[in-house]
Amino acid sequence: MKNKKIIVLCLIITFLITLVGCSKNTDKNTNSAKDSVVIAMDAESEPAAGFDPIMGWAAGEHTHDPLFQSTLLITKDDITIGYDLAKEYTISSDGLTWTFKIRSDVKFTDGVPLTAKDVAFTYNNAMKQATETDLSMLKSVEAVDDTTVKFHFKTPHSAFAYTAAVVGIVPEHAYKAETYGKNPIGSGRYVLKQWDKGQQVILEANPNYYGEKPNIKKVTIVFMSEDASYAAAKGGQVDVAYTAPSYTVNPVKGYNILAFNSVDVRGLNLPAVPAGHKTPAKKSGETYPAGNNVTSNLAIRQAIACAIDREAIVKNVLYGYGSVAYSDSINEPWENEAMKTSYDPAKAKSILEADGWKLNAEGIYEKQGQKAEFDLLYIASNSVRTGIAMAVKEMLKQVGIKVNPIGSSWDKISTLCYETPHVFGAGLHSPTSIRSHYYTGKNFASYSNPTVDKYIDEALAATSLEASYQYWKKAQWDGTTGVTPQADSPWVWLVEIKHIYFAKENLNVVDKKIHPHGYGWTIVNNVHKWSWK
Amino acid sequence: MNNTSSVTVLQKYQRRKLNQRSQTIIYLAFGGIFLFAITLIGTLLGDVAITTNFTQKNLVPQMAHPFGTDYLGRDMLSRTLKGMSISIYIGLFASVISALIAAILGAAAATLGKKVDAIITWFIDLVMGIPHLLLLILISYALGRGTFGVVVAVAISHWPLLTRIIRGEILQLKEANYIKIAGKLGQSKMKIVAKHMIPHIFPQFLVGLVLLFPHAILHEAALTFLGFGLPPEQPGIGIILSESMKYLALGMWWLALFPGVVLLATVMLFDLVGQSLRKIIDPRSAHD
Amino acid sequence: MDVEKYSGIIRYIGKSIVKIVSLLIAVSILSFILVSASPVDPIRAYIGEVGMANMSAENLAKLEAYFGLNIPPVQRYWNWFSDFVQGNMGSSLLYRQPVADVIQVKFMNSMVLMTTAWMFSGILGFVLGIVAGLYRGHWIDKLIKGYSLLVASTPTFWLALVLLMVFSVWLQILPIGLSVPIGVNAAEVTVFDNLKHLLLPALTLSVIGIANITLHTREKMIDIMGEDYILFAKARGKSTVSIIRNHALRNIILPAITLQFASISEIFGGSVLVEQVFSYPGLGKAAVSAGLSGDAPLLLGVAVISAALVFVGNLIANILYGIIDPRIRRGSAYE
Repeated sequence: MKNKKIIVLCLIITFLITLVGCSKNTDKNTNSAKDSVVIAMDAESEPAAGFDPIMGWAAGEHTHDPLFQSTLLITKDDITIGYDLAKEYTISSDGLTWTFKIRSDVKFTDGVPLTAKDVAFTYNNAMKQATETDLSMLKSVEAVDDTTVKFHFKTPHSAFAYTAAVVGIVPEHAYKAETYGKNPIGSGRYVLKQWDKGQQVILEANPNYYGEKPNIKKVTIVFMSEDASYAAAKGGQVDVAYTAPSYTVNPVKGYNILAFNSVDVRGLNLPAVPAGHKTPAKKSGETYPAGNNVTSNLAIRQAIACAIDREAIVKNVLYGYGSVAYSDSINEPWENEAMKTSYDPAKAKSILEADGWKLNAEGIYEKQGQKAEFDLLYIASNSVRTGIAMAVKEMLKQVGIKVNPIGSSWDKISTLCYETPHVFGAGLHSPTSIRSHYYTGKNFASYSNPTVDKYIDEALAATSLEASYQYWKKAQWDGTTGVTPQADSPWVWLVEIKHIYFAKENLNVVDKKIHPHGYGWTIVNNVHKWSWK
Repeated sequence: MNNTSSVTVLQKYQRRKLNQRSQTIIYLAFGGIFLFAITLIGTLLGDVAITTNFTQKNLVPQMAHPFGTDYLGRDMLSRTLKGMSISIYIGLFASVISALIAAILGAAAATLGKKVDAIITWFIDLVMGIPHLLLLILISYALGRGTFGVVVAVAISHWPLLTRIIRGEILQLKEANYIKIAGKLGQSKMKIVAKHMIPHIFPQFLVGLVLLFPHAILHEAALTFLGFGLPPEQPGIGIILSESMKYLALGMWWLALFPGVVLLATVMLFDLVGQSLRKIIDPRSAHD
Repeated sequence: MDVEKYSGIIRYIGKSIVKIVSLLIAVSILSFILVSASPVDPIRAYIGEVGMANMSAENLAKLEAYFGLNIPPVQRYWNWFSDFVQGNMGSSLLYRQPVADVIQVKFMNSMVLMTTAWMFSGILGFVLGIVAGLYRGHWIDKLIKGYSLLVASTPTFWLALVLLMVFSVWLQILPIGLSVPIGVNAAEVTVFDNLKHLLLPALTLSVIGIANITLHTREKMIDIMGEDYILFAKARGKSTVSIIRNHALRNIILPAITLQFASISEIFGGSVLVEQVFSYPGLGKAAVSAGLSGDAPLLLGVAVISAALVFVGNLIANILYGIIDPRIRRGSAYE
């Protein structure tokens, strides 16, 4: 009897506690003070290695303002080059030496002045790392005096200014490879206040910043999946939330949909060599299997290029938030018109038949026992890439090519995509994306064409950016050979996607610069200029 | 088991018109046919479940698409059936493996002496100590996730309860008078096992196996739902439901509702089939 | 209180604790083997494939040493175990914090959720069971029984989805997802940050958890209502309420509580799913994230802690069982 009473008493007490707890329900809506902003970003945007420019922060595959660090140069809204740390720069006539004069009034957040030595240290170390930041053209960087730094090149590289606009400068005295990513000391507009891995980062304005004072003092960035981002906007918990086209069918009250133009394109890499190859060894000594027995057939690659109805993808998968794309340099001055191709499934079939492929009983082309069938990787958490993969599958089925979509995460895909095509995202504010997609030994398609390589070398050797454009164009198509859909077609580019966000109606988001690939950090390039109405 | 003694006059009066046994057989047949149909249709569906049609996306349930369509215009009815049949196959495989493990361990515990019994009983306690879903996650993790991981995890983790039952049954049988008498009469051990033990244990085993089904199916779906099971391009029922979660906030209720109802119905039917089988095989348990 | 009378129980508890400790060690070994056998490489999980490819061989060796991968597994287990005994469970790759700290916070959150659900389902299931047993054959009984059977087959995560749909999307009275308040480290989020988020998960778990206890109580109730002393009491014209209170209740409440304690493993399993759907910051969600992102130390820690929870629940159930059954109380049946 006694036992029973005690138990019942316990039950009642716990019950009451719970109830009381429920009733005092504190719903703390993050009140957006006038100088802070909360942004929901794609979970893939979180840099695994931290905010370390030497490990590829801001300057790797996704390029943007490093925020915590200063850069020598910047890209302006119209994708021309401007100045940050540098006051001026000169290029020697052979293109092998660049000399930068830098400001002398810049201090790191720990109070130590930033000098040419730190610039040299940053680049000399970043060169040794094999990150996505391509610095292989550099020989060495030396600090001549406190405000002068000289870059010595192995080969000329006219596009280097774009790289100098994204590599953040780290302090030589306070740099430790193991910890810097978590605790970045820099001289940028913002300092990293807190980083909860897998969830969020909190940025605060650097009070000693040498440039224009940030209008927004605190920036909280939460990393979320598409649906969580939508739900967060619906709940009013974030001020800006990235979203995907399929979520725009139901707008969120109190929010506008912002759509930014981009050079962010989606396309397929079509491994141009047969299976059994290996990639060049990575820094850790690892190599990955490369090559694909189906896509190594030129006819297959050419057929794919004209068998895909890009307009339909824009309409159906992107809900109109995008445009057709035929190259990785959409609307950029170095894009070659010859990359364009028209949607023509009949032509795709005739290309295959001319090459000796025959339809089998299942309606799939076959040649010498090899079926026209391959896997296609896509990032499963991304609804647009999933949609593109499925659309490609349906469209290629119409021309007798069977595609089996395989959903995965980029982490896994990064090791598999050398032998299996993947729905890639790409696009830079720089012609070097042509190099990363087509240059021998550098690309995911294991593509190699000496003529293309030659033009790329010439483009980089040009004395000015403008002078380099013609070579970049020739690298794509010179009249006889190239990477166009009618020629080698190692990549099939499909669509440009607009970057879309839900943003609070009373928030003035300043962002005029065309977005490169990387849905994430580009949005905050100008966050310091945002304001609340 | 003292239930029979507690039937009151009133309760006796409420006898059903249909003989209970034939009613049970009807249940069994109905359940069996339905499940077989789902499996068959799902298997024969081919590619319909993964065929996208962008002109038909985000459709609410209607005549052409009774379960609606998803954001890629895939027909949810075919996806659900396909997913359910995949789950049933995995469930079938997993229950058979688990039941075999249970038969072997149960028999070993009951017949190979106290030490073996103690070890096996301890092992059962051990496995049952880790919450089942967590154990599944651990095994799947050990096997690197994916289809293989989920199949193995579900197959090798469902044996403890059935092992206990089989062990108990055999122990009880060993003490039963007719077995003892058979022994005294000089029948060989093999003969006793073959003639008296197996015919008694086998039905129990069969029922146990069928009743493992619903658990296995639910656990496969749950594990896949959490991201440890089937890959995202497969129309697994767990995949369908976890995908539906992404579009819940948009108000696309049909993505979650119907596949869930079918899963629920399947699990219930398997349970019904199992219970009916038990009633037919083992009338002792046929109370109520 | 007569100590002699309870000596059986005390001896039993002593024995049980020894057994639990041995089982817990075994659970930790088993979990350790499973986690170590995984092809998921902790270094890869830590820095990602891309980081991996860019890592120099020399830095790789440093990381391997950091994770103790160059030590033989037995030694590694021993290191882990001796640390564990001192309350150090290693550090989480995901949260980049000591596992013990992460688990402590998550454990409290899960406890609040599970205790609430455990009690709601216990009390409600108990009451429903009594009602059903009392009105056996009546439509109320059929309804309750049907409901219990239905719920027993319902996938927890699906019910969670349905409730989310109804309350958050249609009625819009409860928040959808995102129980982590922005600006607070998710490893440190406690349930008290936003109790509104507790309601739906607790409701889901309660609704599902009812089935077992209802059916069990119903059976017991039917048994008892058939007993002679109840019939006698009825014959004396006692009201149903007083019969239940004076005669039936004491005979069915303890078995019900026993059953509830023995069902902790299932509630935990349910909470893993429910926490995932509602993104509730508890142990279950931590286990899933750990498993998906290759955070072996955290997964291991959660496994051991949850097993401890289950064993303690079972122990309480067994002790209660002993209190009910006088033969056991005197120590004869525990042998």
